[in-house]
Amino acid sequence: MTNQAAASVNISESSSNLGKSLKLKTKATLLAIAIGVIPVLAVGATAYYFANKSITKQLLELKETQTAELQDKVSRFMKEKLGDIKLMADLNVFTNPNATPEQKAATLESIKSAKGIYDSIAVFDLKGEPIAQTKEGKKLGNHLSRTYIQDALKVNGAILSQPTISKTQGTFSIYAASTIKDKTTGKPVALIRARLPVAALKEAIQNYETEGQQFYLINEADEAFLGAEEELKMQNAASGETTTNTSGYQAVLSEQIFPDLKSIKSVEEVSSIVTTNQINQTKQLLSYAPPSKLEGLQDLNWKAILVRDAELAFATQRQLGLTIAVGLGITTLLVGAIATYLVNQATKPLIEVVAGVKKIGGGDLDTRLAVTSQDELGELNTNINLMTKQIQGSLEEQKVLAEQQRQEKEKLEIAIFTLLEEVSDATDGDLTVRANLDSMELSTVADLFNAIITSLQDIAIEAKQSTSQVGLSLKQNEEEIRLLAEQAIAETKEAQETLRSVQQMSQSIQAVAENAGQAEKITDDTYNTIVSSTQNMDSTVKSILELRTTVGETAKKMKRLGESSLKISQVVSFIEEIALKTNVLSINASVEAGRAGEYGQGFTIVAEQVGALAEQSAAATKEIANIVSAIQAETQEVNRAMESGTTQVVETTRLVESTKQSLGLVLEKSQEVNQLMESISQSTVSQASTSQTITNLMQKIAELSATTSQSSTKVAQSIGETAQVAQKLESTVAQFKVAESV
Amino acid sequence: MSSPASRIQANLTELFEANIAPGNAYIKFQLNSEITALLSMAQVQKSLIAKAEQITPLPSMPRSVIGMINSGDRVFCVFDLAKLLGLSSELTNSQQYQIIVLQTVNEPSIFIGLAISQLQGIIRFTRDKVQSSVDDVHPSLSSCLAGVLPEADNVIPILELERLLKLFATISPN
Repeated sequence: MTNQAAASVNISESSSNLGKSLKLKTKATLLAIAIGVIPVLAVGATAYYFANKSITKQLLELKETQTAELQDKVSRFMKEKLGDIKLMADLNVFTNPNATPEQKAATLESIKSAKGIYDSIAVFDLKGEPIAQTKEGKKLGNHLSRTYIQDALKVNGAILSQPTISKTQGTFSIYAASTIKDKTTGKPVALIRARLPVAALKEAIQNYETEGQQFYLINEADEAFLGAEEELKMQNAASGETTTNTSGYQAVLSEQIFPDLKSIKSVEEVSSIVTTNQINQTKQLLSYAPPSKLEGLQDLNWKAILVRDAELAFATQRQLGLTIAVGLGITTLLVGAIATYLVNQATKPLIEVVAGVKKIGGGDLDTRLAVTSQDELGELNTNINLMTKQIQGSLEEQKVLAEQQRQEKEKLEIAIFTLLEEVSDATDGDLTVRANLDSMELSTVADLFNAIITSLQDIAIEAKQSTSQVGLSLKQNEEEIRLLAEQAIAETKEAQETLRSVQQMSQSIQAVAENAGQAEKITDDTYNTIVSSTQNMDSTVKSILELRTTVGETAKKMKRLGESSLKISQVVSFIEEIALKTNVLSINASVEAGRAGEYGQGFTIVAEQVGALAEQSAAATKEIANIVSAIQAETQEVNRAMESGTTQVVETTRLVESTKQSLGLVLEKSQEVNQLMESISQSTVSQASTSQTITNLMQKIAELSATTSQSSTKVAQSIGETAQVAQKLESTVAQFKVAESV
Repeated sequence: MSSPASRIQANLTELFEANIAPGNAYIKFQLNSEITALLSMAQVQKSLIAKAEQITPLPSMPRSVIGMINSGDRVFCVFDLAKLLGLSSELTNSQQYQIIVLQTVNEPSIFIGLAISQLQGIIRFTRDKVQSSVDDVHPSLSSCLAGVLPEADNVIPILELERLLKLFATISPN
């Protein structure tokens, strides 16, 4: 009950948001403080806002008025100086051409000492050459080039210059210059100028510079030429110069100091702004007055600025804010204290109730809450006490029931223990034990147990017998299986060797196939060669036959030649005979002529000549005979040669014929060889593929036998393991103790 | 120039020029195939060609005696000159003989037939061309030599009938 309550509280707590998780007391306190403080805060803030606004407005108006005054004062000061120069220009001593420079100088000196603020007054002729000057300072040079001289000549009257650096003295000054006019003609006869140090102007407006307040004057070029000395000095120091020697005066633009000035300058009326001074980095209230126009004064275009440190200017507002803040703080604290006290008083009875319920939830059921009042809290406390009492009663009933159950359980435990005691030997394998059937609670169990033990005993006996048989047969089988495994391994080795030889065989068959292919090619070439040889042989035979015919014809011709030469030789021998007879006749004629004596002398001559002729003829015929016989001999030789040639030709023809026949045979044979080679090549190719197939088959066989070998090895191992298991089983079964009778 | 036909042509022109060379005439002939010889025409009666059957061989006579011949109403003996001079003869068993017929000057004058290998004709030269040197002549001829006629490259022996006749004396029946 209490746990459930706690769980519900937890659920409500975890599901609540921040507002709900806060304690009731805190919530009430916060609410009370809020009701007390918020109106006070609102009133305070509103008051501060309006007061602040009003005060600021007054302050700004004051400052703007002061600035306008400053501007006015400066203008008046400058107008006075313009009046001074006009007065000086009208003096007779300067207009009178007879007056000596010494008189003029004396006059100038007296004016200077009377006025006291000019540091130099001088008179120049129209060419700018100095005529007279006050004693102090350097001797002046030609001044015609000066801007203010030029300006004075231009207007033919009095002018004021912008603040500038004196070229002669090097001081920061304002010049008042004017033409000196002839009294009668009104034409300029000379020039006069007075130098006014800017410091003198500063002195005139010195009272505007107070604690936390500073004025600035700005010329028409927007340069601040008068103002906080340390700021301008700082600018000068940056250029490495001192303020006393102002020749190093450097123009400082007003916007360099106050960048926000630009925004109010365009308004062209007196206005104010809160801005930051860029030089000393302080927040300042700045009032600005635009250039003012004054009757009788040229437009100098000078602007006046009055600044006041914001800290000082807004001190009143700050004090007001502080006062309001302190008042608010005190009010809040007071309200908070009162609220806390009231809330404490209101929530005290509730807290007490909560503490009591917590205690009951923690299990202290003897706790009772005090009923002090008759309101809703009192009723709540009474009901809580009632509830606690009821819970206490039900708890005691439960205690009695638990005691009964415990006793029964103990009894059962004892019975079980006894039974276990009786049958404990069975766990060690003794199957002869029997449980006692005395126990009431466990008699059924014991009976069942006894039946189980009996059947177990039967099983154990059977198991013993079986295991011994298994062991025996395993021992027998183990040896055989081991042999089988060894054989399988040997087979695998053989198969692998066979595979190797088959692979070698396959490779050699491959090589044979390649060789056969080459041989086929070579044979083909040979066949082609033989075919061409046969053709050559045919043409050779033809040539030889032609040769034979030629030789035969030649032999016939030679024979005819021999016959002809024989005839010639016959003719020659005939001629020879004639020649011989002629010779004989001539000799005889000569002899007869000699016998005739003187008369036969002429005949003798003829006879002798005829003889000579005959002799010559004989010689000629002899030569012919020689030639013919030579011809005959040669013819005979040729004949012989012809004959042998013919024989050789015949022989050659025969040889060529037989060669041709042989070639034909060779051709046939080579054709056959070619066919054979082709078939060999084809056969070897098919053999190669077959042997490849065989190799693959052998590989598979080798793999299979390897697998078989592994399997048989595994079988052997398994058998060994089985044997071990059987042995273990036998020893385990042997632990069972069984009755001798069974 | 050297061909026989051209030589015949040269001789034909000479034939009809009626000039006779100075000197004595000699008959020129070949003893055998190697030796050419000369005989003075003074004793030559005639020359003849006789067939073998016209000559009657004489029995029991040396080989140099061919036989007896009847010619021009005269019978005379024919000798193989080469054999007579002890040289090798080409006339043995020939079909016909060329014979120079000579008549001795001394009384009683007789006819002698000398069979030679080949008659070559008659040449004439003066006696001053004849030299007596016998150095280049075959030694068998030296006994019946009258002199030699120098030719272009060798010498031709000139035989003398009187010295030949002395050789006949040596002939006697076998």
